[in-house]
Amino acid sequence: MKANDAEFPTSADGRQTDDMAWRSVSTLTAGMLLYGGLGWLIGKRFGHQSAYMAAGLILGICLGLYVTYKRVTRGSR
Amino acid sequence: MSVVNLATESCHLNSGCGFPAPSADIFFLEPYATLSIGGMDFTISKAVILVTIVALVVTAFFMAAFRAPKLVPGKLQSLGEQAYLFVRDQIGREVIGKDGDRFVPFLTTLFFFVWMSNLMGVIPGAQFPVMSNLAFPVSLTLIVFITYLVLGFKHQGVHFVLDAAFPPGVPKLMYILLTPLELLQLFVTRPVTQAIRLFANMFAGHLLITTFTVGAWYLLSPSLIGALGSATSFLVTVVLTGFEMFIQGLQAFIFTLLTAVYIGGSLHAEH
Repeated sequence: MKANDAEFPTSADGRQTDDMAWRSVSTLTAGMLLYGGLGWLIGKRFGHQSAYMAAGLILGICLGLYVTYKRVTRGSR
Repeated sequence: MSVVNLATESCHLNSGCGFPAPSADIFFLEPYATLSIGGMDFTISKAVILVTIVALVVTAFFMAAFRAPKLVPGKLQSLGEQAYLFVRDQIGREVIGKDGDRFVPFLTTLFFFVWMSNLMGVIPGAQFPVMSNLAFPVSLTLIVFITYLVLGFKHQGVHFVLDAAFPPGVPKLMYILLTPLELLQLFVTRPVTQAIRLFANMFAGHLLITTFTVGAWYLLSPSLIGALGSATSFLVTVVLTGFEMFIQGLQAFIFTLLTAVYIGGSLHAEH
């Protein structure tokens, strides 16, 4: 992006920034819900429920952060 | 309501009466009339009456403002125009772009409907923020979300979902883990967070104001601690009410802004 473009962000830039900001919240929530829930289910079947759920939650947060990072860095290039 | 009953029964400090802390019960309003049509519940409560009043007021205001538009606008028309231009310039064009102009009537209606509904929380006599009842934000979010999906499929086809499901620049193997997450994000947590954000803000604000109002009444007693505590609690109620009015406007703005972000995202593919 040229320097003079950066001074006048277009509506597309503004929208993608806004979109990213709000999307990160729901992505992290989705990650925790999906993989935390999966861990909870696996634990229910095989025992050590809290350990599986904790592992799932951490995995979910990591994946949520990862995908958010990937989407943000792609936009700024 | 239990809190009101306890408060009117001269329940004060040192009168052997515990603090009647308001709970979530204050959001379950007593129905004025119960009505059931074909197994569906149409109970008339304060929230239903308030939301009807809000809808009528917003409709009446904009109809009165633009019924006979003049080139040199009168007071009411210029107020209506400012309201419309505020949403167009701050939300519509800022977020969606020039082609967002055709959605400005929708966004304007949404903004003023949500704002007025929230404002009912501090208007004396009403004093119930309609959006603190989860059903109302959920209904609005459903309208927004269905609009979002329909526009997305209309303008982008299947790419609308594919772009969301397969984030670019990611190793192929990661899609096994990421695609379910992104689909859940798109179809579930995105609308849910939008509804809950509005609901929880109004719920918490109303609960806080009620707690300090009841506190000011409860602490009112012939003792130094009681008098000081009551005065402080009353002061905090006044300050919080002002703060709450700011939050009410802000949450209406954020709800509309998010709607515009979604509409913009459904019209234009991400690049």
